[in-house]
Amino acid sequence: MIVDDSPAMRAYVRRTLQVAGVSLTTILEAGDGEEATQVITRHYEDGNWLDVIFTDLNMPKMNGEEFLSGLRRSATLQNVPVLVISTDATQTRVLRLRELGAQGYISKPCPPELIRVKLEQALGRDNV
Amino acid sequence: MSDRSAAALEQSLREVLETMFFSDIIGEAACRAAGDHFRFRVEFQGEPSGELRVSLPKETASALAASFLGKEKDEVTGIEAVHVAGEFSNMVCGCFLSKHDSGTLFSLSSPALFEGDAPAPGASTNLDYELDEGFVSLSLVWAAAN
Repeated sequence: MIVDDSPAMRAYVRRTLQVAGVSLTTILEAGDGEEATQVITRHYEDGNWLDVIFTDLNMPKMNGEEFLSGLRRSATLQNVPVLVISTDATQTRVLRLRELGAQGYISKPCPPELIRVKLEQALGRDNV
Repeated sequence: MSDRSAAALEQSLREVLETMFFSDIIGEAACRAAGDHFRFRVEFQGEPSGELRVSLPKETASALAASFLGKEKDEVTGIEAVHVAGEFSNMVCGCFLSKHDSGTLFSLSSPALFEGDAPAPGASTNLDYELDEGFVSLSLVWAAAN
């Protein structure tokens, strides 16, 4: 799943995953944490699950930190790997995200290969 | 602060262009590019606070969008060019602030499209560049300290 208020960035990540040959049946998208929570709830009610979530930080309604905190409080979703993609690469931010339970952090600007490597690490696979 | 800010802004622009747009800076532009532009404003709160304005000719925005989205230039829609120009502004601002790491958390506003002059009133740094894909202008304003 890709959560970002920038349609351009969602398209960039989606294209990166597709070009990298990542085997994913469905790529869900949402424009903020609140919409993502609704999409995820419906997805699980339909008997599906998530492999990984990419999320931005600065988003309207519910930002990335609030979204991440909500996931970690959920019995169903607390173990879903979350990779944060953001322009804020300050050490303070990265440490805070680690405390909140983010699996990895990708600082923009980010080449496609970095997204692929972080995904492999998050899923614990050598080859995605 | 102004010289250091200019250097950090240029480095941030270069990193964003090279990493995500397969583009680069050719040099400083002699003057601001004419024609229709997309102008975005990104406000940031932290230590320090301020605003970055980014102005791109529409043709430049379309060319950058094609690189970013992996499309041909004639396949890029107007709305895609706007979205990519906004994301471009966001990345340049965020990259710049990360170089200013003051040990505090920053928050960035969503890039806002605006009409009017790109150079912000009271801007401490104004930069105009020629790219291999067109032109870009950056204007930085620091908020007054409380």
